[in-house]
Amino acid sequence: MMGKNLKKGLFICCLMALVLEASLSEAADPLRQGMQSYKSHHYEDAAATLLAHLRSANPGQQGKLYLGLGMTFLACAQVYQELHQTALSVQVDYLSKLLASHKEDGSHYAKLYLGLSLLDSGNPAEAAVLLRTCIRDKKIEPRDKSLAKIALARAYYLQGKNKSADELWSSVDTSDPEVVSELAATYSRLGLAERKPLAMEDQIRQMMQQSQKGDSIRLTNNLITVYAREGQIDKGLSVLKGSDLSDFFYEETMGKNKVVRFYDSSLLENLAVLYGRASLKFLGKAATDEKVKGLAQYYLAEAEAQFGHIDQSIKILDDALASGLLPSPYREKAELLQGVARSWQSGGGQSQMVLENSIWQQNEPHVLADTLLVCNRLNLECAEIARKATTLVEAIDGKKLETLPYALGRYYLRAHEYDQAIACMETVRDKSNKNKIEYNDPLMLINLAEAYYRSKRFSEALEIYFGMRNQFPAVRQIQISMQGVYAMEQKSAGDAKLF
Amino acid sequence: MRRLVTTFFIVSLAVFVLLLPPAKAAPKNDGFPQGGSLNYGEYGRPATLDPITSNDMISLRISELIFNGLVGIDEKQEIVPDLAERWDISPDNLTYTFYLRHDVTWHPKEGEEPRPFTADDVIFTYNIMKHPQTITPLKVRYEFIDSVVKLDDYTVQFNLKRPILNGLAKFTFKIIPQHGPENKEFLTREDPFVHHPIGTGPYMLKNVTADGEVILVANENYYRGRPHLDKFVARPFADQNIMSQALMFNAIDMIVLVNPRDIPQIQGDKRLVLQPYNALSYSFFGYNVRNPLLADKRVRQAITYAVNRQEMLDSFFNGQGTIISGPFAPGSWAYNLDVEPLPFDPQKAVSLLEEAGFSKGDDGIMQKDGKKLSLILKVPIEKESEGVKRVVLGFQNYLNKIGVEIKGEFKEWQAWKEDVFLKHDFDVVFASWVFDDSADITSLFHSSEIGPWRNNFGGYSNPEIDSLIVESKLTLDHEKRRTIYRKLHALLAEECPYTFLWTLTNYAAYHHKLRHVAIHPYKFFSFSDRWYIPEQEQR
Repeated sequence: MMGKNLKKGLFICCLMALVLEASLSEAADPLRQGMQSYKSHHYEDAAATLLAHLRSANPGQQGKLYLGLGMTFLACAQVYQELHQTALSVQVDYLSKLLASHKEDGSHYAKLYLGLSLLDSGNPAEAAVLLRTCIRDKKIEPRDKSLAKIALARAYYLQGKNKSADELWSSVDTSDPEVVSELAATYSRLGLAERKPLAMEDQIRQMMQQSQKGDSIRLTNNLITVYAREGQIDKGLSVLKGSDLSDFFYEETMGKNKVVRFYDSSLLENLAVLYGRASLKFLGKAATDEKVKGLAQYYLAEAEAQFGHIDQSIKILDDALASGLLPSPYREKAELLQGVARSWQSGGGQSQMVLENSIWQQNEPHVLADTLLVCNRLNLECAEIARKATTLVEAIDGKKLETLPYALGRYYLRAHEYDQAIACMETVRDKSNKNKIEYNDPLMLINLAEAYYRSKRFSEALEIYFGMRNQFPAVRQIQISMQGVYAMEQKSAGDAKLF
Repeated sequence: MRRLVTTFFIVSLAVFVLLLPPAKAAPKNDGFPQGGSLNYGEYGRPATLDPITSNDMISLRISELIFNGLVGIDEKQEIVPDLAERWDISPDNLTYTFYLRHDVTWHPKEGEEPRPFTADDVIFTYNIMKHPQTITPLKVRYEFIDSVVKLDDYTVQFNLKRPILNGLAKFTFKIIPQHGPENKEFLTREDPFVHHPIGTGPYMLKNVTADGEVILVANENYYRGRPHLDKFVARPFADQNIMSQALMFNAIDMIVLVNPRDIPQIQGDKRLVLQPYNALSYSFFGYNVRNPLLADKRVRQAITYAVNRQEMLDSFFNGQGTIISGPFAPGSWAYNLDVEPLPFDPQKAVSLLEEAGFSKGDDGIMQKDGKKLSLILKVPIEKESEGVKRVVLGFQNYLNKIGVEIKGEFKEWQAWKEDVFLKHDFDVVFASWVFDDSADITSLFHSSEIGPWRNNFGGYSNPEIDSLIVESKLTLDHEKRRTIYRKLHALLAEECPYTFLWTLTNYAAYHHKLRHVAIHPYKFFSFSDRWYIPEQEQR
């Protein structure tokens, strides 16, 4: 019984890759190479390999390539979505502490970047207070004042003060390409298509290419914002080539030996949106190929659910389950996803998870794990599943639990029970390679790092990001903010000993 | 008259009560059982057992069991009362007044009643720590204290020269008894107290065996309640591989640092728990710049370029660590993420040596003005694990390829420390540092820390580094200190007083029978008075 379950519940990433790889046995090497990178969680490498191969692939291979690309971009989007959540909260912690510790002679830009973070966190009123201060601050450069005005206008718009927003937007200096680019990105984020953000951004990009100036990280971020949201995936992906995503947005010098660097966490959100849209695009194409249709539909449904399109996800799942094209373990996963999505749909996203399907009565680790993860993704309360999972985790041997400890750890993390979250996730961490993404699911590492951060075990969290930085250079902004919090929070005497 | 008798009676009773030895502390009321012993494996013998003269982690771990500070740090990294039950800090942050507990006693000397802990012990500790002849790395940490005043038997006041960052945390230093050391003026490694210490902590030293086992027993009078375990035994192992085997064969119950190569085996053993604790540590090759050949930074840089650190880490430690670029661990807030480790580039190494005036002699060894670039590498024998031996061989081979001769010498731990810290008789050492969260590198690189038994053993002196370190000490601004540390990181990476190598994965391992185990990432045993073994599993 357990053996059968073990087969069913192989670690999700490996399972996806293995199934695809099995179907790729006759495929060319670049495809295999791309999927190897995917299995090692080197998603951006995998995408680059597969995209390069796509151009020369014969029509028979294209469906598999689309599927591989869709899966890769979906995984990438999930990573950046998690990173964005962490970055936002750490950034707010750091900048708030920074401002609180220097009320009179402190940073001028901390207010601007805290304002931007609060705006992204869904607090336009709080953000507006800070942004208004920035606009009046003589120490803030004119370009950055324009950025503050654009952000303040967004805050007004989100509060329904459209007239005030328009007035501010029309007051900024449009001779500066970076300001125009910021304006276009803001219009795009707010869905103001009639203001033609895509045309604005295209024009700026052309100007920058003609001037042969390298794009600043802010410009890169704005281009990604617009291209991702306006469906220009190829353009968005091309912007990323050669960009340094670890770069800071602004460096404020306050005397000879005091320099503070600022980052905009929306970069991570925009990367998540870009990769998410890319996954929908490629999975959609894969789903038209009969050879990989079943799998592609499953991932497409997962991607739609991930980005909040629940109705669309259910529709795809209904079709996939009816077609009989889904391989066996995916059929069960699809049923689970469908059940959870329906539960969410019936409760308008607010309800308790309804355990109406008999599958949840079996207490199978992989079923509970998948359910917890999907519920978590949809912000669906699932205390009963968590209780069952906790009992199971306490009762049986770690190896037989597959991904359940991680799923439960993630549940505890969202419930702010950090010690339990750490204990669960440490169970599935590869101790010999504890910070290497090649051996650990990056999503698990990101969640574990957050649990350590919340428990004030900063160095554990920082080591995880240090390990991730080569594959995901945009984590630099989390590292810098977290280092800042750690520097202010640590309470040690100043000891060094021989080890 | 009757009133007088009553008053006399009350006063007599009070005096009597005060003269009585304190009653035994109550057991902890947490519902967990007492009993059982914990044998843990260490990778060497402690040089000393007191908290003042020691400069290694083996000693620190033991002194954490024996001693207390005025304040402590809890599991949430918050400062909590310890020997001081409360404190006041003046508004200008220049005066710290500590109100001491009245219920703390020192571990009793044989045949004696336990003596009470008082303000005199605090004053005594500070004075002895500060004395010029006391051998301690702590002096530099407490230079900000101007004076200490006893206000009464249970109140002490520290007056600071200037306000400092994290001031309260500095008072975690351990207090020793006035009646402890033989020499009441200063403390050296010759004083019997450093080998037979008396503290106030949860465990008392019973004896040190001929095999170097340090045996500690529960302090029945511990002010937080008797610790659960009856006994703690620290067992030294010369070889980390043997230590892992001892754990797996139940000869010991815990090891404080698992050899990276043994992690998979221990992880696969259901009887054992692997617990990460992120000590901020790194390994390095440190240079003695008193040797004129090594005084030229181009030579130190050349050696760094010549060594393939990633290959060594992968081959000798199964890749279980991270290559670093400077004087901080990657998990530290001070690590400068802009600085990348120097790449492996033997050609560049040779060019640098040639630029520094070296040329290859007939024997293939680089030389300058008739002096061969032949260096002695000293390694403590306790580090003689398979991995370390390979590092030494690897280092020799890499440097041989650029014409630098390395003669490796393994020395017994104490002899190694004397050669390195006292006599400064070495060219290169292979060693590791571990830091608490403050990431303070003052004692390693400031020129005032050059001297016998000081941590700047290589004699490195650079006015720019000194000036930055001093500025970091003076500032009350976290961000400014962070910027300075980033600069220090970049400068020291360029200067190469060390070849900064890697930070390894730190895990402790212990048997499942041991419960409620929380490990302090630096001090390790800080919370051990709450560890317990269920009755049925005690042996």
